[in-house]
Amino acid sequence: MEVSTKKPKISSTGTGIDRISSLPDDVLHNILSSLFIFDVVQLSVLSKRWRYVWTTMPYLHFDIDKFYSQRIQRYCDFVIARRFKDFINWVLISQGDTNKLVQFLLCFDNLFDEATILRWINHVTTRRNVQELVLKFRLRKPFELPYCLVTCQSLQVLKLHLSGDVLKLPNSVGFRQLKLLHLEQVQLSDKHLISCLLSKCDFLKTLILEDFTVGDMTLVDIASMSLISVTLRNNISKVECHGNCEIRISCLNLKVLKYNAPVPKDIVVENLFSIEVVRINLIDSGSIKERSIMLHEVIKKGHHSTSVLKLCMTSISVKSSLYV
Amino acid sequence: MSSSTKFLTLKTCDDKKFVLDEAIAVRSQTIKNMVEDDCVSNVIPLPNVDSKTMTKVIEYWKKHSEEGISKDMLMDFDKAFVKVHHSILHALILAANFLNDKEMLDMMCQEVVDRIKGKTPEEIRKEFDIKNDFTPEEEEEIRKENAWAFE
Repeated sequence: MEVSTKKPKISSTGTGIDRISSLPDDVLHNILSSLFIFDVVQLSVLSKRWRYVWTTMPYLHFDIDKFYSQRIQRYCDFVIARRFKDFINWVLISQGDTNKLVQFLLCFDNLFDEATILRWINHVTTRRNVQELVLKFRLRKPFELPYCLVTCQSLQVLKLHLSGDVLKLPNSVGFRQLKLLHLEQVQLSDKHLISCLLSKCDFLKTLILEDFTVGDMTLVDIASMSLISVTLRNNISKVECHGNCEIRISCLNLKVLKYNAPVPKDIVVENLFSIEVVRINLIDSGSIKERSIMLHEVIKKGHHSTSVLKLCMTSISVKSSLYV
Repeated sequence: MSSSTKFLTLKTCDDKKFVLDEAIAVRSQTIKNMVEDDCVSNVIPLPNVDSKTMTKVIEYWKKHSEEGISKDMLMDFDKAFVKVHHSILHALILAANFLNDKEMLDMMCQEVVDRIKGKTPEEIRKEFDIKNDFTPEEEEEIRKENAWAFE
């Protein structure tokens, strides 16, 4: 774009006039929301207007990979971790407590200990009223969801990627406002974990379990009044590992059910009164080729005759008119 | 939505009127809310949008409402649509924000980000006609504060 040599004058398309800087803060934040926060901080060198734009950004994205590859490649892990931590703390201190966070994303592999993670989670949940939290890390030991997180009143979206670590719950679970829960590369260790989680989430609409492992669990029990969409997706687990586990889904208001994973012992789906789309793709243990069973919009709304859908490894049957 | 075509009249801040199919106009959540709340009399005033910008917005809405248009054609259209001077980009962002058309707003915001990414501060200033209004002392201070980024 050429810069006009004409004198700046007031006109709707006048060149030479800086219009982007006159956008309101919330619009600028929206524009910058797809950037990592260190890129936004760097924009503070542009002008006085831009100096403090980042200090009220409600979208904070910290990713060690981006930080590492772009900036301080020549240092060892220890130095990078220290600088990354310093940077996160500097941003959080500079932002103060007054601005609510729309989105907080933190990815750092295994560079920090549990205490550091807990401090950040505590800060964003109790001081910043975070609405969407995306965490990706690896502790190499079981991770128990912190109490401040499960009782956070503002949290609507939680995405957790544990790189295979075991997930645990504290004794008390809240999650009053949670609408979407996405667990990725999480080991479900306790058969009550999912049902315990769901029993406290009265507003949860979407549940996604991705590349999860079940250990020696024999039951994954998904029962909820509020869930609209359930997705179980697993491309990385060895096909035999779900063989002893039953998947039980009982959600009165469920509209969309997607299952794309190795064959479990059983899938039992009950109370499909609202179901619109069922897509089940069982990854076969016998051969590498996938045996696809697509039941697309089989059971439309209003067809109350189907209350149970049971899918077994060897036979597929739709039992109808049991209780209706 | 009923099958019979209903038209809405939109009036921009410079008093130009646009008659538009309601089914297209409700791409704007703001207009949709007004229609649903039944607070549309004859003319919907758009006090924050001028006619020049509204013409562009409607061009976008019509293209994205065309039946049978392929994804590739839409992508080409979008690509050409955002290649405008930053002052027009600015007007379209404000319009999309006011009209609450998230799809369009996201696309315009992405274009701004694309023009920022990978550029030095001086290049960004040139792109958007941003004036460096720092004193040398202030500039030095920011440089020190952000030392991690410049080394």
